[in-house]
Amino acid sequence: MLDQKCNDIKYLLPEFIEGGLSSEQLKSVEVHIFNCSSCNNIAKELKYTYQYLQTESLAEVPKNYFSELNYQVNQRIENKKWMPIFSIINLRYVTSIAAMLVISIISALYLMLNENSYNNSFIVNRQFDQKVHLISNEYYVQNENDISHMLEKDYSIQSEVKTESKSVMKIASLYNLEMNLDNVILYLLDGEVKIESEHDYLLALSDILVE
Amino acid sequence: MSEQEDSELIQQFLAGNEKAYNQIVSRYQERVYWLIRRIVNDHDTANDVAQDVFVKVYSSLKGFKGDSSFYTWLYRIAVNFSFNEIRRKKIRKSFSIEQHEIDVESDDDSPIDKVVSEEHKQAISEAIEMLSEKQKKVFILRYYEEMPFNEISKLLKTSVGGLKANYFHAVSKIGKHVRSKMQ
Repeated sequence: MLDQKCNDIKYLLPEFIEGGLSSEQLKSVEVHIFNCSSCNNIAKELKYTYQYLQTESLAEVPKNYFSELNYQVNQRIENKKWMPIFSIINLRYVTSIAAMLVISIISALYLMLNENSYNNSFIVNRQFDQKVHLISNEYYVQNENDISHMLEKDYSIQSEVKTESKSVMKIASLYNLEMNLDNVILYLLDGEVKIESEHDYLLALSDILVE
Repeated sequence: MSEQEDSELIQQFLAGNEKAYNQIVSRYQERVYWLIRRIVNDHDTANDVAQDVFVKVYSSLKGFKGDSSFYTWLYRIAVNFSFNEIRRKKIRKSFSIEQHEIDVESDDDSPIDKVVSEEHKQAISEAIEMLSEKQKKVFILRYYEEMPFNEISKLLKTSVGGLKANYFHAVSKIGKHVRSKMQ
């Protein structure tokens, strides 16, 4: 059983072997491991591990890699300079988003003319349904109707969160990942995430999975 | 390289000299690549992340306030990007990405040496993969990058005492795994 002194000493053992301790620390460790068999054994095991690690050969890189890396970085920087807009907008969705905007405007005008029949949150949901429909033409999601139904039933959830959670579920389905809708909603309600591109969706998904 | 030289290059870059940035990339590319490679564990991903890091640094240098040294700031970006990529990779697991053949430098190892060396590397990389994220960061920065604990402390914003404990547990775990594999 290691006592407090042992705990203090053992965290110095890597540096003891690597050779980074002050003379005072070095003396303290040497005296301790001379008298403590547990710490002595730990030091021996660590020494063995270091010997093993030191024989590790370096991983390989392709020929001329480093002479080309700078060029590749420059190319990317140049591309970024010329296409600042394209770097933040996901081209795959540009057409869908444009179509969605047109439909949204038409829907909004239509709904404004029939304002007695609809409340504001329903407008948002209806617009989003159009968006989901447009985007999901390409990637049909089997349980999409269930998700929409579940979300629309719960009026306590903000419309933005509904929108984003639907999209996260959709992207999850593209990657064949089983995602719990409750976890997605909790994550979106909890975090300060701003989801604007597929990259953001992927990060959100990875965070939810990691959690 | 002294910090003065880094700061001079940064000033030149900020004054509009694009070539100064090429010099910064040339100076740090190998160190940054190997740091990333140790974390992500394959060349293609390390290449992508290294490029992302240098593109990000290019666009963020205006915001570099010099609170920490340039390389601490650069390493922090590289470590964060690498772990973000690992998280993202978990998502992409459903895709079967074929490992590209890479054209490697030839060497003079005999076939038996190569097999032993491969087993060796495999055991160590498996052991590193098994570490917690915190342990992995500390181990790579300390063991491979030979960074002093006080520098790692600034980079990861963690106490030196906590880092030493993590480092000890990381080396111990690696040792246990390697021993179990090589017996």
